[in-house]
Amino acid sequence: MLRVNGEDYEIFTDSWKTLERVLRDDLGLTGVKEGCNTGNCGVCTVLIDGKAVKSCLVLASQVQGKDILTIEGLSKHGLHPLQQAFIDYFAIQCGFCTPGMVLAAKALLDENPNPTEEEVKLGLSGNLCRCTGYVKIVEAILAAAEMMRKEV
Amino acid sequence: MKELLVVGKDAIRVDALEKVTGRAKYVADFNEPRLYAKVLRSPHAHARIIQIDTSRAEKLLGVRGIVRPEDAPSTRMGFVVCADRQVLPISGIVRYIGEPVAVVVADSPEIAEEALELIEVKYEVLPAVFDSEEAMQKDCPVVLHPGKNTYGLATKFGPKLERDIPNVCTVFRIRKGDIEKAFREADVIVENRYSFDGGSQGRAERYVVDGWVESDGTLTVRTARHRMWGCHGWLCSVFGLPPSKVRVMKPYVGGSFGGKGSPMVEALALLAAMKTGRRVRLEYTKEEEFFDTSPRPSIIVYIKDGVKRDGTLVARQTRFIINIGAYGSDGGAISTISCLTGILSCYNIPNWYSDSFTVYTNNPPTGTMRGVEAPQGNWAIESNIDCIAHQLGMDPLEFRMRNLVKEGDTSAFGQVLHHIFPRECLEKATELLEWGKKSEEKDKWKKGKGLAIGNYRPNPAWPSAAVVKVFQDGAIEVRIGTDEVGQGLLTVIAQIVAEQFKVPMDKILDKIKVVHGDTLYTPWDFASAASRSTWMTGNAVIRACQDAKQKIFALAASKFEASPNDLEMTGGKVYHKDLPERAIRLSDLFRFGVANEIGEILGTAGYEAEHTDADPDTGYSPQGAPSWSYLVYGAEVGVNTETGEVKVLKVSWAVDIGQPINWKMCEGQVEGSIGMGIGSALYERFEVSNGKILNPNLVTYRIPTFMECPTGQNVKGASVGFPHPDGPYGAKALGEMGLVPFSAAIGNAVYDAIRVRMTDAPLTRERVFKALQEAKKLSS
Amino acid sequence: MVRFELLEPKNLSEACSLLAEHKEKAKIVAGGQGLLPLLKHRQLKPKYLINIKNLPGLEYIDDGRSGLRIGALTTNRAIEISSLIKQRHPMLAELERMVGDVQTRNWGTLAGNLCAASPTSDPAPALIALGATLRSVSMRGEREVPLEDFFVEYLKTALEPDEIVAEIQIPDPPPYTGGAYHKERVRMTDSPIASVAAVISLDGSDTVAMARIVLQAVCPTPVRAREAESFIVGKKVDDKFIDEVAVLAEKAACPISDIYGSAEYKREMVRVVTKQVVTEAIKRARAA
Repeated sequence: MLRVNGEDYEIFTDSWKTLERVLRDDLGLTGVKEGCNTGNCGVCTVLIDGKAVKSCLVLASQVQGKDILTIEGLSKHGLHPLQQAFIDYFAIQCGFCTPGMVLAAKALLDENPNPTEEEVKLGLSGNLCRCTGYVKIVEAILAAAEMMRKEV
Repeated sequence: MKELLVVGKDAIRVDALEKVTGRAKYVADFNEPRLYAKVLRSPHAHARIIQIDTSRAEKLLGVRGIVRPEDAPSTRMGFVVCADRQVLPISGIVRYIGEPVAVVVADSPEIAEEALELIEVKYEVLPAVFDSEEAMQKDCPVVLHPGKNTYGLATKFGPKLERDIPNVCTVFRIRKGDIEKAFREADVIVENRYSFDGGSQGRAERYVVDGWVESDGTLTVRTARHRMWGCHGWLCSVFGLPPSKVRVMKPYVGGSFGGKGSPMVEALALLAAMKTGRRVRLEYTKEEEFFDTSPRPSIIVYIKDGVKRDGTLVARQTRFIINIGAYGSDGGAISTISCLTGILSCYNIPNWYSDSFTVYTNNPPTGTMRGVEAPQGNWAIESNIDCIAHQLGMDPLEFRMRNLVKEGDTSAFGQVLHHIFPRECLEKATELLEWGKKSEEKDKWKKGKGLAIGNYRPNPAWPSAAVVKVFQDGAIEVRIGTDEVGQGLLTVIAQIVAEQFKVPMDKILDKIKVVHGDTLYTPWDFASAASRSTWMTGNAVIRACQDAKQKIFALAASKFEASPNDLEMTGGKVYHKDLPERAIRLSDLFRFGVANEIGEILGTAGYEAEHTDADPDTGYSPQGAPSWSYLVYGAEVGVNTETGEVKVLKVSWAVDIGQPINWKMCEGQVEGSIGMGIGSALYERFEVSNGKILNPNLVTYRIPTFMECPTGQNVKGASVGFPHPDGPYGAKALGEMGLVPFSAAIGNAVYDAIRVRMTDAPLTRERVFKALQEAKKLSS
Repeated sequence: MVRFELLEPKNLSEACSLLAEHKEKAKIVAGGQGLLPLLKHRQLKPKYLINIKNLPGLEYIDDGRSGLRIGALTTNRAIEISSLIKQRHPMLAELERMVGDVQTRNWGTLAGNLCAASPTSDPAPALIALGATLRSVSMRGEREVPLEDFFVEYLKTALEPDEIVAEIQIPDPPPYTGGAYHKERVRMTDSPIASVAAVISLDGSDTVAMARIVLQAVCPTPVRAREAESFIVGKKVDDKFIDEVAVLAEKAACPISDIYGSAEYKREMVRVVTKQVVTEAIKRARAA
């Protein structure tokens, strides 16, 4: 039994399937991307009970009873400020790292709503991006953080 | 210039929403029922296959077919220059560790992997050669391609096949002026040997292809690559099929940066599909992605520069030796000319002799990566420029200004240069970096500033085409054959179309659709490669829009009793230019979506840039490119004198790219290049031993993370210059240029910090540490 | 990826029983951050995986009578942000920030990191310097192993095939104790080229009472630089002895040349890092 984006799913699958494969193949949540498949790029990041985890290094059976959030869950009721900021600040190029990046950023901001530039960079050092050189991603996250602080 | 409505503004990317919500589909996101393929690879760098025994693998439950060499076509394929590669080694010879030998197809990737371990191959191991300078000796006992001189020359563009030296694939020469005389007259000569290790494009998405045979027999692939139409052409020639019998689709792609030369993976996926009668997914592992998607080659550059005491460059002699690995057809072969592309239009050099060689060795085959060795050639040449400046006691900025080309000067290939603003780039970049001002140093961290200039051009060797369809509600569909790989091509094209039809920015997503990524629906175009898409496809799109408008105006003219030339169009309405308030709606020209006898309103156009191909024996190319762009980097680094660590602290940059179509996206290109540049300048290198890449993984092939890249106020860029009359709305090329002068800027900054000249890139900690120790020894 | 059967014991005792039954054919999986890549590369091919990730009662950081007790399923992240750890052993909290990245730390356990016995593990040398012990359990009972004796050889621990680590114990430091850990690495998130952990206790008169200096990444297992340690024990703190400490520490290193660096370069880095951490540890000991 998996709880993903607020909904419960009963899955029957091979014991060696990772959470990332189950989310993509069994639940059709292809917003979860598979990057290196060995836990070194962060592209597959999802949130488990609010914490950023690389879903390619988690066995699906290990997350029963936990709350899993994918990019689809974040987009359910309109765009999260981070998503809007990524669009507005041109933080997306090929888009492959984007879902994992946005979720990792959300986990960071949920824990630390007023991060410095250095804290953003350290907190996201597990997410690689080859297209942007990170400049606009940092801008977008800081802008989203400011926006989210204003809303509170 | 007329005030522009949309071009030159920061239009939101047309694909941003899809990507940020996870809805954008990449190849692996398509989930049709399928089988899975895995590739069996040679463990030897050079060997003859004696026997392939698949009997045990065939018995594994879940294995549905095994593709063997004899199942593959024997046609040799090639990218651009030479056709030296077969899909599978029918001839029985494998030439690199990792060369595909067979393909297993199974119900799941796990079963396919298990089956690979059950295949036994008997090899006769042959002697191998790995070092390029050894391999290029005329009498080298190991010859990789004895039949080389029978391989086809695939195109007229670029270098030429070398006939006399067995392991040299292609050569390119510059013979300008009288080099001996020039060196005799030089006051100071600076000679050095530079090198740059090989590396990977490092894109986020792994190579994956879904291949199948359509019910009507069409061979179909959905693939994660750029160069869609190039792939289509090769598959047609490899399988001996007409264009209508092959279809290549390319959805959103997770980065490109070149590579993926020959359509190996597509061909293997199709063979697997033909063998099993099913759809097959062939997905590379990250390891395979590193060593078998045509990474960039390693290079050695010998350079000898001659200069007058007053700082005038008079002579240059260069020798480029590029280790392209086992095959040139994956793209490595064109490096002989492209290694010069990043610098040949920067300085006035009246005398230049150059020889470049691509050399076959038993290493994994290499290909094109962002700049195609132009960054590496620039590394050597721009480092040496600094060496000369320092030797003369001149400021490196001043030295460059002295020798820089200006309007009306000639490039090293003999092209007269127009509409160029390199000087303004130098001025702006150094201003942004506060050139001349020394930063405060602390403890063991020394600081230094360096600069470098590079140029680039849109490659004019192939034409472009575009089709524009106008709907009765004013919506416009534009069909292009080049590739969106993340660079923002779709947005650039959408902005150009919006400008042509005067669609306001906030209506672009509603009214304009860019159709791409499918050879069934798009016109032929070479590829998004060689920084050509904005210039070539952009110009084709403008002409196609004009063609469509002409058709609309011809239809509408009768309603205005005016000539079509007096009509204009905006927001789905047509009007006489003197009476804009009396407009008729487009829909009034249609009935049931049919625009009377012309049916659909389709604008079509091709675009070709007048050009000459470079003479491979002299380098002469009076119309080598339709335009030249420039970029200058200023970089500030910190060097830890105790450990040799180099940190990039600040980067400033200035580009001359004419009229930027979308400045935020241009910034993105340069900032991304900076990230990539930090990787290749400091961290990224293939560690190779006896033909084996030892670090095909993200743990020890070190792609920069957030922590290695300056951000925020530490990266500053600007645009200089003016629109180019022949570019689409005045835009010039940018895509690859960002990587070109970066490493040299870092090397020059490191010199400024520690007064030690690094000649081998990347500048790993240990290399810098050793250089510091040797400098200490010399000075004591 | 290897095809395996996943076994789901309900408690530690059941897990031990399964392990005793299948021995080398089975592997324990908790966070799996080290194990799963090996399975994906088919470098390990266990028939069974015994999942202990969700076993109850094994995730805790408790303040015991003579030290901290950390449950085997405590994640690296939990240790990184624990105010108890920050207060009692600040070196450990700082070091945890350097273990991989946030995602790895959120799911991977400290015990798992130690059991992988990688010569590049960050926590291992620091915990040895802190005098930590492990409590392991099996069907045959319990035992305690000093972490110093836990790393037997390259990638091999002192665990028997039927044993599971249940708890990590870190004794409270004596007064005037300071610890520091530093690693020289290429990128921030990379494994060390060389790293050193130092824990130093002073007596009331600024004299070194106890010193543990542990080198990592320069030998098949973490190694104590005993010559360097005994050099400073009993000596009054003096800026000048730091160079000699570094030289002696380097003597304990036995690096090989590999993709992380040449042996010579690693030796240089041992010296650089030793100086840094010993200086810092003494500074903290004085301030304690």
